[in-house]
Amino acid sequence: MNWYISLIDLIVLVLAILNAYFSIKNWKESKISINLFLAIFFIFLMPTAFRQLVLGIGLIEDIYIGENLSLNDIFSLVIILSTLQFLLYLKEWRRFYFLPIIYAFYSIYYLIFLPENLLFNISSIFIGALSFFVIIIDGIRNKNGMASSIAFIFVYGLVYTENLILLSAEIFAAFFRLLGVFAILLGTSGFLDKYILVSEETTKIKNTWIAKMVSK
Amino acid sequence: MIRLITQTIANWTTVIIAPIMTILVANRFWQFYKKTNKINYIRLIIFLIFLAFTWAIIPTNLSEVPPFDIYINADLIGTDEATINSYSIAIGFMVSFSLCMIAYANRWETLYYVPLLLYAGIIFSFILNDLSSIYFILNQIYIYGAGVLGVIFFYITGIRLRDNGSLGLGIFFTLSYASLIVGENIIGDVFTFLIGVFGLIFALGFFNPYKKSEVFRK
Repeated sequence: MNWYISLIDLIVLVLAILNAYFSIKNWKESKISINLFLAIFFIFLMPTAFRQLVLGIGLIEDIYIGENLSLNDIFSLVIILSTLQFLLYLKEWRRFYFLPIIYAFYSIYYLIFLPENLLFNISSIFIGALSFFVIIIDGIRNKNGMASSIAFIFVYGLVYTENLILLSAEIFAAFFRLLGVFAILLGTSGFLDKYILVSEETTKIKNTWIAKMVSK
Repeated sequence: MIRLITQTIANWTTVIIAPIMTILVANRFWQFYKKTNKINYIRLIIFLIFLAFTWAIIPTNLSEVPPFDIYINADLIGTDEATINSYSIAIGFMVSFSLCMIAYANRWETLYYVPLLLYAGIIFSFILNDLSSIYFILNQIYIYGAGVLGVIFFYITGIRLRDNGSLGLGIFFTLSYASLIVGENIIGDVFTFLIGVFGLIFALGFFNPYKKSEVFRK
């Protein structure tokens, strides 16, 4: 393990803590349930970032259950499917609210009983990428920085999926982790809403960003 | 010899009646659509349940009686839920549509597609993983679990919402399960025969214990 990978992971951990801080702050100010969901989710990201750091240093090793289900795979599932769940919530596709849970169930079943994970990797990337593009396009169209940045959860979660050709190099994986949490931070801190995706509506309804989506 | 006669009567009854039932419920759905220009999802789901039932029962029942037992390979089409085959897939869809109907009747919107997504998950996973046998047990658990849940909720929904469709399908599924539990004997043949008879009564619209339903009023 190179020292700069550990340094990047340390920065990722700091940014993940900042994300949790800003999301808790947003929730305290607005008291909207989706902000509470995000606060809990970002709190969950902190130990994953910490674990990645100590895993990289070599203090711990990945844990496997059954044939091929690793702790990394579980993290990857939770992170990527959260993006999908967020998309379903944002679009109010109530009839598909259970889709991420169903997908997670079959993925876990497959990884426990079969000695390969190619299908899981391909399908999780496909689902995550789909959610990523839909959320980011929707976020930009509605000038909603928070929603756009949440799409980057996928980029952060992607690196947990093993055996990716592009991300097999550790530096790429570390870079994607950093890009993911940094992009999320731009949204949670309000930077995107304030300086990039500026709209009159945003200034009128501070911290109630979800209201924009719902009031359409 | 007696068994062969009862089996032939029972199997031929369902083989003849199953497609008639399906056509009848399809016609009722179509007539409603033509009249109102709206889709009646309850009737559509009942049609899909009967379609899946027809798909399951015709090849299986024909494979057991002469002269078709010579021409139809029972192993190829499948006759039970132990593996994933044409028969068990049809039964899987049948129970899935039943749960969809219960969710729809009760207006549990988040659960509308859950049974179909669950079953599609088994079939897709099975196909994409080189027809791996690890999905056989999952398929079996799903069919029995969803079937039992379906029967219980059909009765609850039927009584609670005074819905003839749910109550009728509850009785229809109870007869189907009784036939499966009793097994391949004369009593099992009686249940198979009753499935056909009751199915026809239901499809013709004569099963009306409740005059006013709460489902469409909701």
